[in-house]
Amino acid sequence: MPKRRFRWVRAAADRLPTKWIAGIGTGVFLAAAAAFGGLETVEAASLPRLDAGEEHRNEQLAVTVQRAVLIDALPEAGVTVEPGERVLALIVDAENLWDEPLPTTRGYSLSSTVALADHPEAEPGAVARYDDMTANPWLQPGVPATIVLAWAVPADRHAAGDDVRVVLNDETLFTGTAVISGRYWDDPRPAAVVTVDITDVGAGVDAAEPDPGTVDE
Amino acid sequence: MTRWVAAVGGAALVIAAWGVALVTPDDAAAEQPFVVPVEVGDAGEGRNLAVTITGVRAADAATIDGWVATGPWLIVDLEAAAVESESGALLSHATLSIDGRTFRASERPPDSLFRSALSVGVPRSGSIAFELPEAALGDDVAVLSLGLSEDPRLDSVIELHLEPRRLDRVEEAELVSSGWAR
Repeated sequence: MPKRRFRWVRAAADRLPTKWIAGIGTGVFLAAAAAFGGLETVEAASLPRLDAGEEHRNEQLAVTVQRAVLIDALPEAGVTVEPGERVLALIVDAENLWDEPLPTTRGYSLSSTVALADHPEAEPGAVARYDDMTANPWLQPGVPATIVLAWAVPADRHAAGDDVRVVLNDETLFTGTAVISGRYWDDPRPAAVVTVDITDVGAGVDAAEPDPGTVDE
Repeated sequence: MTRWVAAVGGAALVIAAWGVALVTPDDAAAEQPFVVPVEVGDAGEGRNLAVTITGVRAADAATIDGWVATGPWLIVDLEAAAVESESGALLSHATLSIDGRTFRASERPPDSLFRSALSVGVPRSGSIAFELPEAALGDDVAVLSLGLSEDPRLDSVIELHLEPRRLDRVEEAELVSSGWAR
């Protein structure tokens, strides 16, 4: 039995033409959507913006993108270029903040957490240490390392002086169940955007070889 | 037979069940590695791995074959051989656990026994090196674990407990070139 004080609702609903309900509903939805900024993607705008040299930290890694280099070829780092391609290399300081060593091979740590904003699906073609060019180095807990991440890109995509936007992802720690054992980081989500100037070093003698005087910092 | 007997009996059973739950090992216990503890200088033999750790050194920089890198580093000199079979006998598992953190032997030195092939009965000698943060070398307890499979579960591992803080720290240490032990 309906309560007496709600009787007016029934009376009002009886007077409201059914056709209006869809219209009113749509109007309310549009007003609410407009109030929250319309149907535009909001995620990209809300990411923190960093400059080269600024650090991004999460539970897994501390990552600082130092500089971006455009170079004809970088075989030392293990990246191969086809005709019409050049190499875009990011020099990144990374420290493993977790308690187990992290591989940098495809799908792990730096390979899946550092991405080019315009081509986020393309993982680096090569990952190597900057100082001794060890390919796919492991990141030991608490030991910082300077890493080169290299992508083969069409030669005309970037020019000297351009900016490249780099997305840094945060990952979630999973514990394996059933047939998967151990703990692993996965599910990369964009967490920051770094804007870096590109330096074109041409054939790049000095950038292709590690500085002989520096060993790992 | 009265009610208090039933009550006491019931309580005893509940306490017993609680005790059983406490002492039941967790799922991971069923697949733990078989640990062979060793001391420096002693030979330790597991399922298919025989290891003698001949020395442990600490250094600011490690070097071998022209490669130099500042660390700090903890370098383990050892002799290792397979026991039964050379198939899959690589020294693939080498970790150092310090204060809740696990470090993996470095793949950076151009010559190291880490991930190298072992022979049955004829030991190989050489070094493995661990790149560590400064704080780890000042710690009291470290556990070195060596095995044949990168996933050490259900295989034997050779384990050495050491005190990183007690090690004499040198400026630069050279890894032992890999070779036949004798």
